[in-house]
Amino acid sequence: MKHARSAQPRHSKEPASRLASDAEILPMDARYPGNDFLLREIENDRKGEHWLVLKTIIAVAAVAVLVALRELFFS
Amino acid sequence: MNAQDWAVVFQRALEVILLLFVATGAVPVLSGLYSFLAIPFHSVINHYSKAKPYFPRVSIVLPAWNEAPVLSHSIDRLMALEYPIESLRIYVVDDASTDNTPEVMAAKMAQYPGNVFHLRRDKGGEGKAFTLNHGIREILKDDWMQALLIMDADVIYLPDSLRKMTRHLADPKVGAVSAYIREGSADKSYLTRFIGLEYVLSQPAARRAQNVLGAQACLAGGAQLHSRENLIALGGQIDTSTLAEDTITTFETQLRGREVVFEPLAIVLSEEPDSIDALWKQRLRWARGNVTVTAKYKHIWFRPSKVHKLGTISFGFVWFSLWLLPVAMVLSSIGLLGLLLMHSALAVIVFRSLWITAACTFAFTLAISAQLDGSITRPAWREVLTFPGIISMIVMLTAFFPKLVEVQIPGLFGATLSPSTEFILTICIYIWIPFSMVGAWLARKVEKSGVGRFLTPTLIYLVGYGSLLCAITFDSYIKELRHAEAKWDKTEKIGRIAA
Repeated sequence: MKHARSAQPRHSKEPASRLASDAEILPMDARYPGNDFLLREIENDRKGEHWLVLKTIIAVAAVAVLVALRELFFS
Repeated sequence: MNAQDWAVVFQRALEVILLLFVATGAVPVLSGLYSFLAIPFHSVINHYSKAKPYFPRVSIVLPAWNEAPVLSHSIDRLMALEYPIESLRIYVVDDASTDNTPEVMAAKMAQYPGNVFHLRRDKGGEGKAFTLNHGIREILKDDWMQALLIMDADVIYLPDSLRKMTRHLADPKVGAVSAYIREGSADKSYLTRFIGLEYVLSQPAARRAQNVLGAQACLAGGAQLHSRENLIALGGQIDTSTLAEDTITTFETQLRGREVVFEPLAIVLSEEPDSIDALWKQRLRWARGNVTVTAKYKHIWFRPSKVHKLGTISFGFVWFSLWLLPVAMVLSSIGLLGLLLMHSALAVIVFRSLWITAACTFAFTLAISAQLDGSITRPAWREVLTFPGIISMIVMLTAFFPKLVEVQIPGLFGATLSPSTEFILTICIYIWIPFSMVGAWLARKVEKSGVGRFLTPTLIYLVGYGSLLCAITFDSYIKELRHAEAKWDKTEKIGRIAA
Protein backbone atom coordinates (compact mmCIF):
# COMPACT_ATOMS: atom_id res chain seq x y z
CA MET A 1 0.00 0.00 0.00
CA LYS A 2 1.38 3.39 -0.99
CA HIS A 3 0.46 4.95 2.30
CA ALA A 4 2.34 2.39 4.34
CA ARG A 5 5.38 2.69 2.12
CA SER A 6 5.62 6.47 2.26
CA ALA A 7 4.69 7.23 5.84
CA GLN A 8 6.69 6.54 8.96
CA PRO A 9 5.09 4.82 11.94
CA ARG A 10 3.89 7.34 14.49
CA HIS A 11 6.76 7.18 16.93
CA SER A 12 9.67 6.24 14.69
CA LYS A 13 12.88 8.28 14.86
CA GLU A 14 14.92 9.15 11.80
CA PRO A 15 18.39 10.50 12.55
CA ALA A 16 19.11 13.83 10.86
CA SER A 17 22.33 12.37 9.42
CA ARG A 18 20.27 10.00 7.27
CA LEU A 19 18.45 12.82 5.50
CA ALA A 20 18.86 12.71 1.75
CA SER A 21 20.17 15.66 -0.19
CA ASP A 22 17.74 18.11 -1.83
CA ALA A 23 18.42 16.60 -5.26
CA GLU A 24 17.29 13.15 -4.14
CA ILE A 25 14.06 14.15 -2.47
CA LEU A 26 11.84 15.73 -5.11
CA PRO A 27 8.54 13.91 -4.66
CA MET A 28 7.27 11.97 -7.66
CA ASP A 29 3.76 12.01 -6.28
CA ALA A 30 2.59 14.89 -4.09
CA ARG A 31 0.23 12.57 -2.21
CA TYR A 32 3.05 10.19 -1.33
CA PRO A 33 6.13 12.39 -1.11
CA GLY A 34 8.22 9.88 0.84
CA ASN A 35 9.95 10.06 4.16
CA ASP A 36 13.11 11.77 2.98
CA PHE A 37 11.19 14.63 1.47
CA LEU A 38 9.00 15.01 4.54
CA LEU A 39 11.93 14.92 6.95
CA ARG A 40 13.74 17.53 4.87
CA GLU A 41 10.58 19.66 4.81
CA ILE A 42 10.31 19.55 8.59
CA GLU A 43 13.99 20.41 8.93
CA ASN A 44 13.65 23.31 6.48
CA ASP A 45 10.58 24.61 8.27
CA ARG A 46 12.41 24.39 11.59
CA LYS A 47 15.40 26.27 10.19
CA GLY A 48 13.06 28.80 8.55
CA GLU A 49 11.90 29.86 12.00
CA HIS A 50 15.41 31.23 12.63
CA TRP A 51 14.48 34.18 10.40
CA LEU A 52 12.21 35.34 13.22
CA VAL A 53 15.28 36.60 15.05
CA LEU A 54 16.29 38.84 12.14
CA LYS A 55 12.71 40.03 11.69
CA THR A 56 12.58 40.98 15.36
CA ILE A 57 15.87 42.85 15.07
CA ILE A 58 14.47 44.81 12.11
CA ALA A 59 11.34 45.65 14.11
CA VAL A 60 13.42 46.78 17.09
CA ALA A 61 15.56 48.86 14.72
CA ALA A 62 12.43 50.57 13.39
CA VAL A 63 11.51 51.58 16.94
CA ALA A 64 15.10 52.69 17.61
CA VAL A 65 14.96 55.00 14.57
CA LEU A 66 11.77 56.60 15.93
CA VAL A 67 13.37 57.15 19.33
CA ALA A 68 16.55 58.53 17.76
CA LEU A 69 14.50 60.97 15.65
CA ARG A 70 12.74 62.18 18.76
CA GLU A 71 15.93 62.62 20.72
CA LEU A 72 17.88 64.27 17.91
CA PHE A 73 15.31 66.63 16.44
CA PHE A 74 12.24 66.99 18.63
CA SER A 75 13.23 66.66 22.28
CA MET B 1 -4.61 68.23 61.06
CA ASN B 2 -6.58 71.24 59.91
CA ALA B 3 -8.92 71.46 56.93
CA GLN B 4 -6.12 72.54 54.60
CA ASP B 5 -4.02 69.50 55.53
CA TRP B 6 -7.00 67.22 54.90
CA ALA B 7 -7.48 68.85 51.51
CA VAL B 8 -3.84 68.11 50.63
CA VAL B 9 -4.19 64.50 51.77
CA PHE B 10 -7.41 64.13 49.77
CA GLN B 11 -5.74 65.63 46.71
CA ARG B 12 -2.76 63.25 46.99
CA ALA B 13 -5.05 60.24 47.46
CA LEU B 14 -7.11 61.27 44.44
CA GLU B 15 -3.91 61.70 42.44
CA VAL B 16 -2.81 58.16 43.33
CA ILE B 17 -6.20 56.73 42.33
CA LEU B 18 -6.12 58.59 39.03
CA LEU B 19 -2.56 57.38 38.43
CA LEU B 20 -3.75 53.82 38.96
CA PHE B 21 -6.52 54.44 36.42
CA VAL B 22 -3.93 55.65 33.91
CA ALA B 23 -1.76 52.62 34.68
CA THR B 24 -4.58 50.28 33.59
CA GLY B 25 -4.06 51.68 30.09
CA ALA B 26 -0.45 50.53 30.18
CA VAL B 27 -1.38 46.91 31.00
CA PRO B 28 -2.63 45.89 27.52
CA VAL B 29 0.28 47.74 25.91
CA LEU B 30 2.84 45.91 28.05
CA SER B 31 0.99 42.63 27.56
CA GLY B 32 1.18 43.05 23.77
CA LEU B 33 4.87 43.89 24.01
CA TYR B 34 5.52 40.86 26.22
CA SER B 35 3.73 38.55 23.77
CA PHE B 36 5.48 39.87 20.71
CA LEU B 37 8.89 39.77 22.37
CA ALA B 38 8.34 36.00 22.73
CA ILE B 39 8.07 35.57 18.93
CA PRO B 40 11.83 35.32 18.15
CA PHE B 41 12.09 32.51 20.72
CA HIS B 42 9.94 30.42 18.37
CA SER B 43 13.16 29.93 16.42
CA VAL B 44 14.28 27.53 19.16
CA ILE B 45 11.15 26.79 21.20
CA ASN B 46 8.88 25.13 18.64
CA HIS B 47 7.43 21.70 18.00
CA TYR B 48 9.35 20.87 14.81
CA SER B 49 11.94 18.82 16.67
CA LYS B 50 9.16 16.44 17.76
CA ALA B 51 7.30 16.44 14.42
CA LYS B 52 7.63 13.37 12.18
CA PRO B 53 6.18 12.31 8.83
CA TYR B 54 2.81 10.93 9.83
CA PHE B 55 -0.33 10.28 7.78
CA PRO B 56 -3.13 9.17 10.10
CA ARG B 57 -6.54 8.31 8.63
CA VAL B 58 -8.26 11.70 8.72
CA SER B 59 -11.99 12.28 8.83
CA ILE B 60 -12.93 15.78 7.86
CA VAL B 61 -16.16 17.05 9.34
CA LEU B 62 -17.64 19.92 7.42
CA PRO B 63 -20.76 21.59 8.80
CA ALA B 64 -22.91 23.11 6.08
CA TRP B 65 -26.09 25.15 6.08
CA ASN B 66 -27.12 26.44 2.69
CA GLU B 67 -23.53 26.32 1.50
CA ALA B 68 -24.27 24.85 -1.92
CA PRO B 69 -22.48 27.70 -3.79
CA VAL B 70 -19.18 26.89 -2.07
CA LEU B 71 -19.55 23.21 -1.17
CA SER B 72 -18.64 21.62 -4.48
CA HIS B 73 -15.46 23.65 -4.82
CA SER B 74 -14.51 23.00 -1.17
CA ILE B 75 -14.82 19.23 -1.61
CA ASP B 76 -12.79 19.30 -4.83
CA ARG B 77 -10.05 21.24 -3.07
CA LEU B 78 -10.05 18.81 -0.14
CA MET B 79 -9.79 15.84 -2.45
CA ALA B 80 -6.82 17.52 -4.13
CA LEU B 81 -4.89 17.80 -0.86
CA GLU B 82 -1.37 16.36 -0.90
CA TYR B 83 -2.46 13.52 1.32
CA PRO B 84 -2.95 9.77 0.71
CA ILE B 85 -6.42 9.52 -0.75
CA GLU B 86 -7.22 6.25 1.03
CA SER B 87 -6.60 8.07 4.34
CA LEU B 88 -9.13 10.84 3.68
CA ARG B 89 -12.84 10.89 4.33
CA ILE B 90 -15.05 13.96 4.11
CA TYR B 91 -18.29 14.06 6.06
CA VAL B 92 -20.53 16.96 5.09
CA VAL B 93 -23.04 17.51 7.90
CA ASP B 94 -25.98 19.20 6.26
CA ASP B 95 -27.75 21.29 8.90
CA ALA B 96 -31.19 20.89 7.27
CA SER B 97 -30.23 23.12 4.36
CA THR B 98 -33.05 24.51 2.25
CA ASP B 99 -30.95 25.05 -0.87
CA ASN B 100 -29.71 22.39 -3.31
CA THR B 101 -27.07 20.97 -0.92
CA PRO B 102 -28.51 17.40 -1.18
CA GLU B 103 -28.18 17.48 -5.01
CA VAL B 104 -24.64 18.84 -4.81
CA MET B 105 -23.72 16.15 -2.30
CA ALA B 106 -25.25 13.36 -4.39
CA ALA B 107 -23.04 14.42 -7.29
CA LYS B 108 -19.93 14.63 -5.09
CA MET B 109 -20.54 11.21 -3.49
CA ALA B 110 -20.80 9.73 -6.97
CA GLN B 111 -17.60 11.51 -8.01
CA TYR B 112 -15.61 10.41 -4.93
CA PRO B 113 -17.10 7.07 -3.76
CA GLY B 114 -15.76 5.96 -0.40
CA ASN B 115 -14.28 9.37 0.33
CA VAL B 116 -17.25 11.73 0.53
CA PHE B 117 -20.29 11.20 2.78
CA HIS B 118 -23.46 13.21 3.29
CA LEU B 119 -25.02 13.34 6.75
CA ARG B 120 -28.26 15.27 6.99
CA ARG B 121 -29.87 16.68 10.12
CA ASP B 122 -33.65 16.90 10.12
CA LYS B 123 -33.66 19.86 12.50
CA GLY B 124 -31.14 22.62 11.90
CA GLY B 125 -30.25 26.11 13.10
CA GLU B 126 -29.09 25.10 16.58
CA GLY B 127 -25.51 26.18 15.98
CA LYS B 128 -22.24 24.88 14.61
CA ALA B 129 -21.42 22.74 17.66
CA PHE B 130 -24.65 20.72 17.34
CA THR B 131 -23.98 20.17 13.65
CA LEU B 132 -20.40 19.06 14.34
CA ASN B 133 -21.53 16.67 17.04
CA HIS B 134 -23.95 14.99 14.65
CA GLY B 135 -21.02 14.24 12.36
CA ILE B 136 -18.62 13.27 15.15
CA ARG B 137 -21.10 10.74 16.56
CA GLU B 138 -21.29 9.04 13.16
CA ILE B 139 -17.53 9.11 12.68
CA LEU B 140 -16.82 7.60 16.09
CA LYS B 141 -19.13 4.63 15.42
CA ASP B 142 -16.19 2.74 13.94
CA ASP B 143 -12.44 2.91 14.54
CA TRP B 144 -11.39 4.06 11.06
CA MET B 145 -10.74 7.67 12.07
CA GLN B 146 -7.34 8.35 13.69
CA ALA B 147 -7.58 12.13 13.48
CA LEU B 148 -10.48 14.51 13.03
CA LEU B 149 -10.28 17.75 11.10
CA ILE B 150 -12.96 20.28 11.95
CA MET B 151 -13.42 22.92 9.28
CA ASP B 152 -15.88 25.35 7.71
CA ALA B 153 -17.49 24.80 4.34
CA ASP B 154 -16.14 27.99 2.85
CA VAL B 155 -12.44 27.69 3.71
CA ILE B 156 -9.78 26.45 1.31
CA TYR B 157 -6.82 24.41 2.49
CA LEU B 158 -3.59 24.94 0.60
CA PRO B 159 -2.43 21.56 -0.80
CA ASP B 160 0.31 20.88 1.77
CA SER B 161 -1.59 22.22 4.78
CA LEU B 162 -3.08 18.98 6.12
CA ARG B 163 0.18 17.04 6.08
CA LYS B 164 1.90 19.99 7.79
CA MET B 165 -0.67 19.66 10.56
CA THR B 166 -0.65 15.87 10.92
CA ARG B 167 3.14 15.73 11.39
CA HIS B 168 2.69 17.26 14.87
CA LEU B 169 0.27 14.50 15.89
CA ALA B 170 3.21 12.08 15.59
CA ASP B 171 3.98 13.31 19.09
CA PRO B 172 1.45 11.55 21.36
CA LYS B 173 1.53 14.48 23.79
CA VAL B 174 -0.14 16.68 21.17
CA GLY B 175 -3.93 16.61 21.33
CA ALA B 176 -4.75 19.18 18.67
CA VAL B 177 -3.14 21.26 15.93
CA SER B 178 -4.37 24.54 14.52
CA ALA B 179 -3.54 26.10 11.15
CA TYR B 180 -3.14 29.71 10.07
CA ILE B 181 -6.43 31.08 8.79
CA ARG B 182 -5.50 33.67 6.19
CA GLU B 183 -8.03 36.16 4.82
CA GLY B 184 -8.47 35.03 1.24
CA SER B 185 -11.16 37.10 -0.47
CA ALA B 186 -10.47 37.77 -4.14
CA ASP B 187 -12.18 41.14 -4.11
CA LYS B 188 -10.34 42.88 -1.29
CA SER B 189 -11.94 45.86 0.43
CA TYR B 190 -10.57 48.16 3.12
CA LEU B 191 -12.30 45.93 5.69
CA THR B 192 -10.97 42.59 4.44
CA ARG B 193 -7.48 44.14 4.31
CA PHE B 194 -7.86 45.20 7.96
CA ILE B 195 -9.12 41.71 8.86
CA GLY B 196 -6.21 40.15 6.95
CA LEU B 197 -3.77 42.25 8.95
CA GLU B 198 -5.56 41.45 12.21
CA TYR B 199 -5.23 37.73 11.38
CA VAL B 200 -1.49 38.16 10.80
CA LEU B 201 -1.18 39.87 14.18
CA SER B 202 -3.28 37.28 15.96
CA GLN B 203 -1.99 34.09 14.30
CA PRO B 204 1.51 33.88 12.78
CA ALA B 205 2.54 36.50 15.32
CA ALA B 206 0.56 36.01 18.55
CA ARG B 207 0.02 32.24 18.26
CA ARG B 208 3.70 31.66 17.64
CA ALA B 209 4.21 33.51 20.94
CA GLN B 210 1.60 31.23 22.55
CA ASN B 211 3.52 28.20 21.23
CA VAL B 212 6.56 29.58 23.05
CA LEU B 213 4.63 30.37 26.24
CA GLY B 214 3.12 26.86 26.19
CA ALA B 215 -0.59 27.67 26.15
CA GLN B 216 -2.86 28.34 23.19
CA ALA B 217 -5.93 30.51 23.67
CA CYS B 218 -8.01 29.20 20.79
CA LEU B 219 -7.90 26.68 17.98
CA ALA B 220 -9.05 28.18 14.68
CA GLY B 221 -12.69 27.20 14.19
CA GLY B 222 -12.17 26.41 10.52
CA ALA B 223 -8.90 24.50 10.88
CA GLN B 224 -8.49 22.32 13.94
CA LEU B 225 -7.10 18.82 13.85
CA HIS B 226 -7.67 16.51 16.82
CA SER B 227 -6.20 13.12 17.56
CA ARG B 228 -8.81 10.42 18.14
CA GLU B 229 -7.50 10.01 21.70
CA ASN B 230 -8.03 13.69 22.39
CA LEU B 231 -11.51 13.72 20.94
CA ILE B 232 -12.52 10.74 23.05
CA ALA B 233 -10.96 12.35 26.13
CA LEU B 234 -13.17 15.38 25.42
CA GLY B 235 -16.20 13.11 25.64
CA GLY B 236 -16.46 12.54 21.89
CA GLN B 237 -18.26 15.80 21.37
CA ILE B 238 -17.91 19.55 21.16
CA ASP B 239 -19.31 21.83 23.86
CA THR B 240 -22.78 23.09 22.95
CA SER B 241 -23.49 25.26 25.97
CA THR B 242 -21.78 28.44 24.75
CA LEU B 243 -20.95 30.45 21.65
CA ALA B 244 -17.24 29.73 22.17
CA GLU B 245 -16.99 26.02 21.43
CA ASP B 246 -13.56 26.42 19.79
CA THR B 247 -12.05 28.09 22.85
CA ILE B 248 -13.62 25.58 25.21
CA THR B 249 -12.28 22.67 23.13
CA THR B 250 -8.83 24.31 23.24
CA PHE B 251 -8.95 24.80 27.00
CA GLU B 252 -10.32 21.32 27.73
CA THR B 253 -7.58 19.73 25.60
CA GLN B 254 -4.86 21.54 27.54
CA LEU B 255 -6.52 21.02 30.93
CA ARG B 256 -6.22 17.27 30.29
CA GLY B 257 -2.48 17.66 29.86
CA ARG B 258 -2.36 17.50 26.06
CA GLU B 259 -0.53 20.10 24.02
CA VAL B 260 -2.14 22.33 21.42
CA VAL B 261 0.22 23.33 18.62
CA PHE B 262 -0.17 26.20 16.18
CA GLU B 263 1.39 25.42 12.77
CA PRO B 264 2.05 28.74 11.01
CA LEU B 265 2.98 27.09 7.70
CA ALA B 266 -0.30 25.18 7.32
CA ILE B 267 -2.31 27.84 5.53
CA VAL B 268 -6.06 27.89 5.15
CA LEU B 269 -7.83 30.62 3.17
CA SER B 270 -11.11 31.94 4.45
CA GLU B 271 -13.76 34.38 3.41
CA GLU B 272 -14.30 37.11 5.98
CA PRO B 273 -17.13 39.63 6.43
CA ASP B 274 -17.20 42.48 3.96
CA SER B 275 -19.38 44.81 6.02
CA ILE B 276 -19.02 46.28 9.49
CA ASP B 277 -22.44 44.93 10.40
CA ALA B 278 -21.52 41.32 9.50
CA LEU B 279 -18.16 41.67 11.24
CA TRP B 280 -19.86 43.13 14.32
CA LYS B 281 -22.25 40.14 14.55
CA GLN B 282 -19.42 37.62 14.10
CA ARG B 283 -17.10 39.26 16.62
CA LEU B 284 -19.89 39.92 19.11
CA ARG B 285 -20.50 36.17 19.11
CA TRP B 286 -16.79 35.56 19.76
CA ALA B 287 -16.58 38.27 22.43
CA ARG B 288 -19.65 36.98 24.26
CA GLY B 289 -18.16 33.52 24.06
CA ASN B 290 -15.01 34.85 25.73
CA VAL B 291 -17.08 36.31 28.56
CA THR B 292 -18.54 32.84 29.13
CA VAL B 293 -15.10 31.21 28.95
CA THR B 294 -13.64 33.68 31.44
CA ALA B 295 -16.40 32.86 33.93
CA LYS B 296 -16.42 29.11 33.24
CA TYR B 297 -12.68 28.77 33.95
CA LYS B 298 -12.52 31.14 36.89
CA HIS B 299 -10.78 28.42 38.91
CA ILE B 300 -7.74 28.29 36.60
CA TRP B 301 -6.74 31.94 36.17
CA PHE B 302 -3.39 32.87 37.74
CA ARG B 303 -3.11 29.43 39.35
CA PRO B 304 -0.04 27.69 37.89
CA SER B 305 -0.44 23.95 37.40
CA LYS B 306 1.90 21.10 36.58
CA VAL B 307 -0.59 19.75 34.03
CA HIS B 308 -1.14 22.81 31.83
CA LYS B 309 0.04 26.37 31.34
CA LEU B 310 -3.34 28.08 31.15
CA GLY B 311 -2.92 29.12 34.77
CA THR B 312 0.40 30.87 34.34
CA ILE B 313 0.68 34.54 35.22
CA SER B 314 1.76 35.35 31.66
CA PHE B 315 -1.23 33.62 30.03
CA GLY B 316 -3.69 35.25 32.45
CA PHE B 317 -2.03 38.61 31.85
CA VAL B 318 -2.44 38.26 28.06
CA TRP B 319 -6.00 36.89 28.27
CA PHE B 320 -7.37 39.56 30.61
CA SER B 321 -5.51 42.37 28.84
CA LEU B 322 -7.44 41.60 25.68
CA TRP B 323 -10.71 40.84 27.37
CA LEU B 324 -10.68 44.00 29.50
CA LEU B 325 -9.09 46.29 26.91
CA PRO B 326 -12.12 48.61 26.55
CA VAL B 327 -12.33 48.99 30.34
CA ALA B 328 -8.62 49.83 30.48
CA MET B 329 -9.03 52.41 27.72
CA VAL B 330 -11.90 54.17 29.51
CA LEU B 331 -10.22 54.11 32.93
CA SER B 332 -6.99 55.40 31.47
CA SER B 333 -8.75 58.37 29.87
CA ILE B 334 -10.62 59.14 33.09
CA GLY B 335 -7.30 59.10 34.93
CA LEU B 336 -5.60 61.42 32.46
CA LEU B 337 -8.55 63.82 32.38
CA GLY B 338 -8.76 63.87 36.18
CA LEU B 339 -5.06 64.65 36.54
CA LEU B 340 -5.35 67.41 33.94
CA LEU B 341 -8.35 69.00 35.67
CA MET B 342 -6.49 68.86 38.99
CA HIS B 343 -3.70 70.79 37.24
CA SER B 344 -1.36 68.01 38.30
CA ALA B 345 2.14 68.20 36.87
CA LEU B 346 1.91 64.42 36.52
CA ALA B 347 -0.72 64.65 33.76
CA VAL B 348 1.73 65.51 30.98
CA ILE B 349 4.40 63.10 32.26
CA VAL B 350 2.09 60.08 32.46
CA PHE B 351 0.37 60.95 29.18
CA ARG B 352 3.70 61.04 27.38
CA SER B 353 5.00 57.91 29.12
CA LEU B 354 1.84 55.97 28.28
CA TRP B 355 1.53 57.06 24.68
CA ILE B 356 5.24 56.83 23.90
CA THR B 357 5.18 53.25 25.21
CA ALA B 358 2.06 52.61 23.13
CA ALA B 359 3.65 54.16 20.03
CA CYS B 360 6.83 52.07 20.41
CA THR B 361 4.79 48.91 21.00
CA PHE B 362 2.55 49.57 17.98
CA ALA B 363 5.60 50.27 15.81
CA PHE B 364 7.29 47.09 17.00
CA THR B 365 4.26 44.80 16.67
CA LEU B 366 3.29 46.14 13.26
CA ALA B 367 6.89 46.05 12.00
CA ILE B 368 7.35 42.42 13.00
CA SER B 369 3.90 41.35 11.77
CA ALA B 370 4.37 43.08 8.43
CA GLN B 371 7.28 40.74 7.77
CA LEU B 372 5.47 37.55 8.76
CA ASP B 373 3.09 37.37 5.80
CA GLY B 374 4.06 39.79 3.04
CA SER B 375 1.33 38.51 0.73
CA ILE B 376 -1.22 40.03 3.10
CA THR B 377 0.66 43.02 4.53
CA ARG B 378 2.19 44.40 1.31
CA PRO B 379 -1.16 45.14 -0.39
CA ALA B 380 -2.47 46.35 2.99
CA TRP B 381 0.26 48.94 3.63
CA ARG B 382 -2.35 51.69 4.20
CA GLU B 383 -4.06 49.53 6.81
CA VAL B 384 -0.70 48.69 8.43
CA LEU B 385 0.06 52.40 8.79
CA THR B 386 -3.42 53.31 10.04
CA PHE B 387 -4.26 50.22 12.12
CA PRO B 388 -4.48 52.22 15.40
CA GLY B 389 -6.45 54.94 13.54
CA ILE B 390 -5.26 58.20 11.98
CA ILE B 391 -6.37 60.26 14.99
CA SER B 392 -4.65 57.91 17.44
CA MET B 393 -1.53 58.19 15.28
CA ILE B 394 -1.72 61.98 15.70
CA VAL B 395 -2.11 61.52 19.46
CA MET B 396 0.98 59.30 19.44
CA LEU B 397 2.86 61.91 17.44
CA THR B 398 1.81 64.54 19.99
CA ALA B 399 3.30 62.43 22.76
CA PHE B 400 6.36 61.37 20.79
CA PHE B 401 7.20 64.66 19.10
CA PRO B 402 5.49 67.30 21.26
CA LYS B 403 7.46 70.22 19.84
CA LEU B 404 6.58 69.19 16.29
CA VAL B 405 2.83 69.08 16.86
CA GLU B 406 2.46 71.90 19.39
CA VAL B 407 4.98 74.43 18.05
CA GLN B 408 6.57 73.62 14.71
CA ILE B 409 3.51 72.61 12.63
CA PRO B 410 1.34 75.54 13.91
CA GLY B 411 4.41 77.74 13.31
CA LEU B 412 4.39 76.78 9.62
CA PHE B 413 1.05 78.57 9.36
CA GLY B 414 2.24 81.49 11.49
CA ALA B 415 0.05 80.37 14.41
CA THR B 416 0.77 79.82 18.07
CA LEU B 417 -1.51 77.95 20.44
CA SER B 418 -2.99 80.07 23.21
CA PRO B 419 -3.05 78.43 26.69
CA SER B 420 -6.84 77.95 26.52
CA THR B 421 -6.66 76.40 23.01
CA GLU B 422 -3.87 74.15 24.18
CA PHE B 423 -5.93 73.11 27.24
CA ILE B 424 -8.98 72.25 25.13
CA LEU B 425 -6.80 70.34 22.64
CA THR B 426 -5.19 68.42 25.49
CA ILE B 427 -8.60 67.43 26.87
CA CYS B 428 -9.63 66.20 23.40
CA ILE B 429 -6.42 64.16 23.12
CA TYR B 430 -6.79 62.63 26.60
CA ILE B 431 -10.38 61.53 26.08
CA TRP B 432 -9.96 60.45 22.48
CA ILE B 433 -9.69 56.72 23.06
CA PRO B 434 -13.20 56.15 24.52
CA PHE B 435 -14.59 58.42 21.81
CA SER B 436 -12.85 56.36 19.14
CA MET B 437 -15.15 53.48 20.16
CA VAL B 438 -18.14 55.76 19.64
CA GLY B 439 -16.75 56.57 16.19
CA ALA B 440 -16.57 52.85 15.39
CA TRP B 441 -20.16 52.38 16.58
CA LEU B 442 -21.20 55.29 14.36
CA ALA B 443 -19.42 53.69 11.39
CA ARG B 444 -21.70 50.68 11.75
CA LYS B 445 -24.81 52.83 12.16
CA VAL B 446 -24.23 54.83 8.96
CA GLU B 447 -23.03 51.88 6.89
CA LYS B 448 -26.39 51.19 5.27
CA SER B 449 -27.29 54.85 4.77
CA GLY B 450 -26.71 56.80 1.56
CA VAL B 451 -23.41 58.21 2.79
CA GLY B 452 -22.24 54.91 4.34
CA ARG B 453 -20.22 53.82 1.34
CA PHE B 454 -17.91 56.78 1.82
CA LEU B 455 -18.37 57.66 5.49
CA THR B 456 -17.95 54.20 7.04
CA PRO B 457 -14.46 53.48 5.64
CA THR B 458 -13.44 57.08 6.41
CA LEU B 459 -14.56 56.67 10.02
CA ILE B 460 -12.76 53.33 10.38
CA TYR B 461 -9.51 54.78 9.02
CA LEU B 462 -9.89 57.73 11.41
CA VAL B 463 -10.80 55.84 14.58
CA GLY B 464 -8.84 52.68 13.82
CA TYR B 465 -9.69 49.01 13.38
CA GLY B 466 -8.52 48.31 16.95
CA SER B 467 -11.16 50.71 18.27
CA LEU B 468 -13.78 48.89 16.22
CA LEU B 469 -12.85 45.60 17.93
CA CYS B 470 -12.88 47.32 21.33
CA ALA B 471 -16.33 48.75 20.64
CA ILE B 472 -17.58 45.23 19.83
CA THR B 473 -16.06 43.88 23.05
CA PHE B 474 -17.73 46.73 24.94
CA ASP B 475 -21.03 45.78 23.29
CA SER B 476 -20.50 42.20 24.50
CA TYR B 477 -20.28 43.47 28.12
CA ILE B 478 -23.58 45.29 27.67
CA LYS B 479 -25.26 42.27 26.06
CA GLU B 480 -24.02 40.00 28.86
CA LEU B 481 -25.14 42.42 31.59
CA ARG B 482 -28.58 42.60 29.98
CA HIS B 483 -28.61 38.81 29.60
CA ALA B 484 -29.45 39.32 25.94
CA GLU B 485 -30.29 36.19 23.98
CA ALA B 486 -27.12 34.46 22.78
CA LYS B 487 -28.03 33.16 19.36
CA TRP B 488 -26.01 31.61 16.60
CA ASP B 489 -25.76 34.37 13.96
CA LYS B 490 -24.17 32.68 11.01
CA THR B 491 -21.86 34.82 8.87
CA GLU B 492 -23.03 34.77 5.27
CA LYS B 493 -20.47 33.32 2.85
CA ILE B 494 -20.76 33.57 -0.91
CA GLY B 495 -17.55 31.96 -2.14
CA ARG B 496 -15.27 34.98 -2.64
CA ILE B 497 -12.01 33.18 -1.89
CA ALA B 498 -9.22 33.24 -4.47
CA ALA B 499 -6.91 30.26 -4.18
